Amino acid sequence: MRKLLIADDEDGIRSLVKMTLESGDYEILVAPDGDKALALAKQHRPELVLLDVAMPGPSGFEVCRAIKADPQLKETKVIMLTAKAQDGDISEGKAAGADDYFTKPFSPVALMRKVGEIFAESAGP
Amino acid sequence: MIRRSDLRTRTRFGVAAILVVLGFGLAGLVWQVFDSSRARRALVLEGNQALANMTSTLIATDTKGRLNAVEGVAARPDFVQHVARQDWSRAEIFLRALRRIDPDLTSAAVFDSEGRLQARDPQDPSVVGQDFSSRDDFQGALASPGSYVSEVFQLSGTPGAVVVAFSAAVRDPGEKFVGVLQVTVPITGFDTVTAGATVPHDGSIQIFDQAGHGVTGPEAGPENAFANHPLISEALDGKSGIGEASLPGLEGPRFVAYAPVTEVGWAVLVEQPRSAALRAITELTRRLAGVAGLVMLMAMVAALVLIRLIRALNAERTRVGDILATALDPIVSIDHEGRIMEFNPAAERVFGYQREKVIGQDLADTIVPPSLRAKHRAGLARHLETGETKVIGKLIELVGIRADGSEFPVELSVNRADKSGAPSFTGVIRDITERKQAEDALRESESYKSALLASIAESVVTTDPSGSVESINPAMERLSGWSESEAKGRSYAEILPVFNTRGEGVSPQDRLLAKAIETQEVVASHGFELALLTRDGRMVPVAITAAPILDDQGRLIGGVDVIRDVSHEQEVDQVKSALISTVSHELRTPLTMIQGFSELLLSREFEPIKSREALEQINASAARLGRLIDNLLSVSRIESRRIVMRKAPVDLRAAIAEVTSTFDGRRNIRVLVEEKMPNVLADRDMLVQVLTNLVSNAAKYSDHEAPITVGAKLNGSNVEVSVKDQGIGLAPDEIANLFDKFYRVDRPEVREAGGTGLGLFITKSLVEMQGGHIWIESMPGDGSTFTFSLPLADHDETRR
Repeated sequence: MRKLLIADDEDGIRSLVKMTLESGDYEILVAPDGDKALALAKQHRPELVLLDVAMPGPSGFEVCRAIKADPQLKETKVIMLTAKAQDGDISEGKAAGADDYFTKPFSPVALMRKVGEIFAESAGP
Repeated sequence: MIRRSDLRTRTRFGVAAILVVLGFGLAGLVWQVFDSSRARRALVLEGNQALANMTSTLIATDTKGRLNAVEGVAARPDFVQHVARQDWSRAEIFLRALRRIDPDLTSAAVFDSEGRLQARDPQDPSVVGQDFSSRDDFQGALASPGSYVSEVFQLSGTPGAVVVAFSAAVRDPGEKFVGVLQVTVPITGFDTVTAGATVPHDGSIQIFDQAGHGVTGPEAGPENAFANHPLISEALDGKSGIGEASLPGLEGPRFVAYAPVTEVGWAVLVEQPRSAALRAITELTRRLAGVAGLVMLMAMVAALVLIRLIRALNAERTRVGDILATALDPIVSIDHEGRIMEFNPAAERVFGYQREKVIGQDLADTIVPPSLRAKHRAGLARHLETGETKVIGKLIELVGIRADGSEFPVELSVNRADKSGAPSFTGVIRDITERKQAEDALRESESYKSALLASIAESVVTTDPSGSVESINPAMERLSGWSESEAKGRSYAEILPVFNTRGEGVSPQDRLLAKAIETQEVVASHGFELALLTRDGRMVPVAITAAPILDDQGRLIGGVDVIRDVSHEQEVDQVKSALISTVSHELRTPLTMIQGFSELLLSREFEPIKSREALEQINASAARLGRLIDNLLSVSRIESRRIVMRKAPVDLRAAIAEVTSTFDGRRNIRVLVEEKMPNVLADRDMLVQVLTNLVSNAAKYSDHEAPITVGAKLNGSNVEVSVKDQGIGLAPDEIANLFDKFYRVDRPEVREAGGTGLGLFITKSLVEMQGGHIWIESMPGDGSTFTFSLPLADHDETRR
């Protein structure tokens, strides 16, 4: 099963993303803050990580940078999920190496489609 | 000292007086001299008159000798015999003798009784026998008893000889006329008469004969006669005098003095050209005028000095009373016992006493206020005893008192006089109420200005146009760390360095005050773009407004910088930004869930249990949004004071039960309230909201299993309600701002719990609106206890 990780401090958001992607037959990992997200990413090496920006502990950007800097995780795709929609945040996300960006509120259907695309591209194990 | 100055004054007076008398005397004399043109001319003419008279005498004397000689010969018996006998050759011997005696004679001749020339020396045959009976020398000799001086004529037979004849009749002893003896002299001979005397200013002496022919002068000769000339005719008539006329043969008007030569019937004129005579006088006059002017000036200066001296002397001599009467300031004299001797009208006016009533009274009892009386008497006594003084010869400020008891500030100068034995004292007093008021007003306006600057909460620096500090107010002293005395005269840019948001120092020429001074317009900073580096090295965010200082004519006289510490505003601004960020996050999260779950539900079929979970999420999110909006509205209402409160007695136990029941099954809540708890005076809805907020917070920040305790106990006329948890607890620095609007403790567990930072602000506001207080006791990791007080509904009821 292909693995993906959801990191968000809001329980509701985690539930929403989880429910959105359940039908895709993925193994879904969840983390409530940056530290746990990074630890799970290193441990399980998910193919895709969905990161909230404003999280307790390291922010989503910091986690993203850490993932992209980790040689073992260089294949991992990152999608930022945030309430912040300013240009500055988007460019900071790009600079941190994020592959895509979803602003809250987002469309679960669009997210599902995007995740599908990313998995299709990487072709999987 | 007085004597010496007296002597000096007298000396000055004397010198000045002499100068005045001399000056005016001399000036008067000089003025008389050239007083009128008539007098000036008279002066000249009188001199001329004397000369004319003298000349007349000279001519008379001169001719007299010749006439005597002619008369003498004509009367000689031998000569008479020769003529009577017509023995012309013998008679001729006498003629020759006459010419030998008087070589100046041109000729000598004898005529017979018929008027024919019979003999002549020198001999001239051409004229012998010629009849001259019609000529005046013959007729004159015949008519006059003695001798005769003739008119000027051309001597016959002798060309160029213009002569005057002296003739005398020759009579025999029987008085019979037998002939005429005649001698002639050239008129040039008369020039010697006038040659001795020189007439000043180009003048001359002129002699005219009885017919008006010129004997001397330019018109000398028989050709023209001037007997009709007004002045010549006067002289020929035997009068002497002076006049102004033109004269034959001379140009221009002349000053003329004339005199007759009565012995011969001639006239003498002394003449001067008028212009020359006057020129001399004018020169003299001018010189005299210069001297006179100078003397006059000296005299006038001396007179002025004299007038001043006289005035000074007069002033000294004027009776004291006269001065007193006219003085504008009160003047009061006292004797050595302090009794009033003099009290002038100004004193009457200022102090409101009548002179007659205060004369003889003790000064201390009248115009000296009670507070100074003892001092005045002691001072006078000490002065009389020792000569010491703190008053005499000085200008001192005191307080005076009027008859009506009102006091006012005065300026006093006192002099001592020792004229008649016992000393007396005269004081000149000036009412300085107005001056004092003006001084006070000035001081007030100065102190008002500094008070104004001191009272301005903003920091103010004023500079001159070059940017050199002139003043800083106390607020600026506190902000910058510089004292005004240290700052004065230094460059404001140097002591108040300012940095921009990038941390770069703003150069002096880019400072707002420099721009304000340059453009003469007000310039202000925007937002939080500037920070001031204080003397102790702190960076304080500031807002600066700089303005030029212009005087009432619009001239630049300096600049003023108003610097406001905007640290607090910046904090608030940051808090506000954080709030907006928080609120938008708080809004977006439930919104994301509502939108996401509903979209999911619509996108495909879910198992009933999943669908229900999604719907519960939607429902919870909607409730969360509702709470958030409620909180925001509450804050808005609290801040704008639009919240409506209905206070009434409330059953506290019931209210607590209502709140705790909503947590039934979710949290373990213990309620510790006395059975007989009296009602509190509160708005029930507000009370429920307060309790809900506190219990929710306790639940939010403590472990799910940990109990929460809600208690209430009486404390005097209040009830204290507490909500205790065993949660995360708070540090003192976190507690400090806990009840502030939008404040959120910066800890992960707090952030994770979510919230707007409004709950406790609202809670505190609601408690205080109901007349209570709220506080917290807490330690990190040891839980928190929030307690609030509320007044009892009926104070008396609790006592029963």
